[in-house]
Amino acid sequence: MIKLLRVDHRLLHGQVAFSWKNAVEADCILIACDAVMKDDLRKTSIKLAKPSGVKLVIKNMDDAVNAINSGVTDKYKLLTVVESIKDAERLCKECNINKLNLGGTKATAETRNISKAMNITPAEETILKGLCESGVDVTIQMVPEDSPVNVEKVL
Amino acid sequence: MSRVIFASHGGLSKGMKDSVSMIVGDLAKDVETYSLLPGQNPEDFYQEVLKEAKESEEQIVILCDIKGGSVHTALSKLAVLDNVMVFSGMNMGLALDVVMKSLGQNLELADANDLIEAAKEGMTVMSGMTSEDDEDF
Repeated sequence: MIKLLRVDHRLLHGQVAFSWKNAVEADCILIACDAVMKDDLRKTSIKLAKPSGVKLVIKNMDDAVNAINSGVTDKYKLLTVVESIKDAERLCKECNINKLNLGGTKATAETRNISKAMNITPAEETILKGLCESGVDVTIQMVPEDSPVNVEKVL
Repeated sequence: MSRVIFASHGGLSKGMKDSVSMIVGDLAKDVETYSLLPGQNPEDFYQEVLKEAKESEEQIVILCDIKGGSVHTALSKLAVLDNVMVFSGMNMGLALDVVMKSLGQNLELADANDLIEAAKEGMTVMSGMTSEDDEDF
């Protein structure tokens, strides 16, 4: 089962690997990202961030959706990380996930800042509003020790 | 929760707390730091902690920067007390693990040894491309 679905442009790194793994007691981390599967160097660096005692699976978005829906992941306490809000929306919709953690997205010329680490484009804002309307509980929380902030408050 | 003290020559201890906080947030807010500055003697800090350790049963976990350095040699004498544990070779991985493990419980010696092993595993060197098999469900 999915214990946490997180958006984080850095995918797997100290905060996720360490704090979130412990906080949700995950025994498996799934990185769902098309770009990483085409980039061996990035994939290797993500493997370095794997904490001890957990399994790390990296898949492209199609394969991740299929794996989750096939039931092979049911026996794991899964921490799933995607790099974008768009990818998170896909997983929420196609895998019936009703809770989303917003960790961090990079600031660009098109984004506006909605929290210390979250920056969203107008298109992403629309996606987030849609997710909230469809009943997904979307919260901003960089590390487990931060209080979760309901994203609707900042949209 | 145990008291955790990062102790170093110069600013490493404060910097370590800053870096650890970036990952675990407020969990590290109660970590204490000791920086030995030129002209100071770590013996003074030893006496200070010795007094506190004797007055309370609370566990004190101390991470020193380098084995055999003056900070470590002074503070390692505290290890004779049942409620004090002294590490050397502080690095980020070890510091993170100690902070997490010391929350709400005392750190046992067996666990401390496991943390040392994990910290050693965290030291690697890379050169060129490595290939490792991908895991699957």
